[in-house]
Amino acid sequence: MSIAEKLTTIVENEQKVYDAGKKSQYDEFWDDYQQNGTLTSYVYAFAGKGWTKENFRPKYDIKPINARLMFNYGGNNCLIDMVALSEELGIVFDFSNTTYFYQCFCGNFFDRLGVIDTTSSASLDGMFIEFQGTTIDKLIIRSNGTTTITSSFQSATNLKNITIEGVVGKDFNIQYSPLSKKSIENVVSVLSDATSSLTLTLSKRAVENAFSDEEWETLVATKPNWTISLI
Amino acid sequence: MLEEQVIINKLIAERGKILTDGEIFGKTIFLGNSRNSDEFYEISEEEYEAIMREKETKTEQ
Repeated sequence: MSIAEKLTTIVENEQKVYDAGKKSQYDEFWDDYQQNGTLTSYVYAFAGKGWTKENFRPKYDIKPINARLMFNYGGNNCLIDMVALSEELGIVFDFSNTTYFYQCFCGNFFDRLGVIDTTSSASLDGMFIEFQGTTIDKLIIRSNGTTTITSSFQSATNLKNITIEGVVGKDFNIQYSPLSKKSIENVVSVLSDATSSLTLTLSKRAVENAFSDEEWETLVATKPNWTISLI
Repeated sequence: MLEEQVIINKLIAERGKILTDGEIFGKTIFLGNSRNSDEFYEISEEEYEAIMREKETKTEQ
């Protein structure tokens, strides 16, 4: 091969070499950070401000057992769509074995969460404090009504869309969230029929925006064992 | 076919006030069938906001 041919080959392969180098860096980082896919303790894992939409690209499925503070005020206003990212990267976010969720999703890391199965955890205390996302596709809680969800959504002031699957059997305050009509109907529908002296607190503005008085009182009447407060 | 009459007890706070029983807060409260209106009283919105600030401070600690 002449020098000219060699130079031509180098130029032709420059991008490939660059890409291979970047991939190697990517693999090296995520193989280490996610322990080749075996990591289960994700405490504070993505809580730093250095995370961005560009660099939050996990290589392996995320299956935490401990998700305390996992995305706690992390990222720089990333507002990532978890479902879209999952599809793009071919990874899953699987919380079905997670036992600790304290302050997991606080802040603006995500705009949309997919299916979050919390049935392995008894308490969702603090899980969505100041969550700035608009959508939680599905939050799965225990069907026996034992999940503590009382103040899980404190100051989740952008949350409009949520579907809860399971049974709410404890006081539930989601007053800061401007929920859609469909979401409010869902929240009311999953309130336990087997309890008494419990309270659901909702945004008064959200309810008034979504329902006529008659529609709302009809919905309230479906859960006579619950006190429902609007504020 | 079963027909039942459901009575909803609805409490509405006066303008500038918030209803509470010490634990629950609301401008409008639809009472569950195990609660009665005697358990509730009104506080000012300022008092309510002060209570919420105190609760937030405790949460942060």
